[in-house]
Amino acid sequence: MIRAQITTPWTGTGAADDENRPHLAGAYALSSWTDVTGQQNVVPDPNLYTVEITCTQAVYDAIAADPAYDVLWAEPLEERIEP
Amino acid sequence: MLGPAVSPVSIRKRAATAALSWLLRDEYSSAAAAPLASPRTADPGPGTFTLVQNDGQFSVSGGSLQIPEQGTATWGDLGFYTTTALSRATGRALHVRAAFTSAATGDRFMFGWSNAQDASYANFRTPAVYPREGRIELYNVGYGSVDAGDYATATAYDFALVLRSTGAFCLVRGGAFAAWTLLWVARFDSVANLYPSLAAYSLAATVDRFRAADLGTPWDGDYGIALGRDTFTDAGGTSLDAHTPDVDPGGGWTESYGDWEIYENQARNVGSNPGDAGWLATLESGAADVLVESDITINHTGSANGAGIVLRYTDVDNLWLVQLNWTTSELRIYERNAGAWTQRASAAVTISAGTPYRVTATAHGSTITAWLEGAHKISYSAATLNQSATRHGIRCAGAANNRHDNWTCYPRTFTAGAAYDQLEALRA
Repeated sequence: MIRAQITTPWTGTGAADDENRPHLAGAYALSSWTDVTGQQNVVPDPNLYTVEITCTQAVYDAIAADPAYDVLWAEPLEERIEP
Repeated sequence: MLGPAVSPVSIRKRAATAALSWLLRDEYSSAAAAPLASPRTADPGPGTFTLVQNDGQFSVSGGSLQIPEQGTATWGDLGFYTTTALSRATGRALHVRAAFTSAATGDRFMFGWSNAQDASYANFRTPAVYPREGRIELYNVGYGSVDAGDYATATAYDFALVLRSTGAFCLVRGGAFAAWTLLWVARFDSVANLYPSLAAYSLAATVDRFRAADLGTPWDGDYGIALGRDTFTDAGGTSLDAHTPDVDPGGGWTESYGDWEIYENQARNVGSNPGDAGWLATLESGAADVLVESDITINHTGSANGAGIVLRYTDVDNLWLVQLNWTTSELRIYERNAGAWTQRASAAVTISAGTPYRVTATAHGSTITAWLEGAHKISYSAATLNQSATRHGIRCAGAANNRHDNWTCYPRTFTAGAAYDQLEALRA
């Protein structure tokens, strides 16, 4: 698994069936993502913000190769040992 | 005839200064070189511990128990436990004040109520506090870990594990937790015989207090600290706003949007979709920083279907929502600001229609955090909308007949009142 911060545009209208959300989340199968910019003005100009994601290596490789998004940083997630 | 007036100030003062009757009390005031003798008589007592020092040795200096890093980290080689059990009793609290020297990979140890006399992790219940690699986790054998926040090194933390009839309240004060903070409400495990224990692994630490006492009201009830609670036990078809919650801070439920009713002793949304806000019901709790949990069942598998916990509601256009989204198989944090829905965080989860899932959400300052079945999933740390709003509740979307059950709202922090006074007496 990979953890990374990625820049992405917002998409959506804010309606219940078309919420404001990161374009990246609809384009790739992410394990999780969180808005780390915290913009109160959703969809600013330019339309760009940062999300922190977790995903598989294969998904990360595809995102990194996609010119629609920029990777700010990425690191492998340590496999957890219980306990 | 009326009696003399009683000053509320004098009542608070008396509660704050009430002394606890210690069941176990080790405060490490007398220096002792390594290795410590076993059994150890608690200082000043009461209590006696069996010490295991197969790899690493305890010492006492500067008013603290010194816990070294092991040479070869192995659970069961370094730790201690009481020589006699303390039986489970609601409100019975273990207090540990500890500081940790490192947050490096592999660093961890554990303390809490164990069901066996050993120095291993394998029998901790209720759960145990599990400082690990810079994070405070809560570990219950058989149920895994809850990730509850960060710890800073070389910083003293007071932990309290307050037993319930099942599970425990897990609290911390220290570092970034400036006030007593309810980290988690564990709902598993009712084992009776419990041994206050500590199991070291590879994290060097100091412990200044290792004590147990019985707390009084409101900690002596499973839901004594709850700001609101509802098992939705009532006649089928009762409107939610005509139903009295089990713990009602006053006013009961408001069906804020759409229609709700009691059905099979659960709350469900009924009728057609009322619109963009979805079905909303809210309750005044009196606190903005809260821990809220609900057992959520998605029964309808149509599109845009989900159900969740509402936080910091002021009106149908302004609120926070932690939603279990059946349509996308995700747990999401939403902000609804001036009528616009914005996803702030999301995690993929596996859920099945017709199965209840425990969703837990906390609102603490500007951070909203969401768990599913005790597993931390997502947080959002810029939640400034409605930060002082005190109404929380339930929501459903998509179609009718989704369910909420065992909805409970606890305060996230304690800064005044009887519950706080008891914690401060424990910490004194």
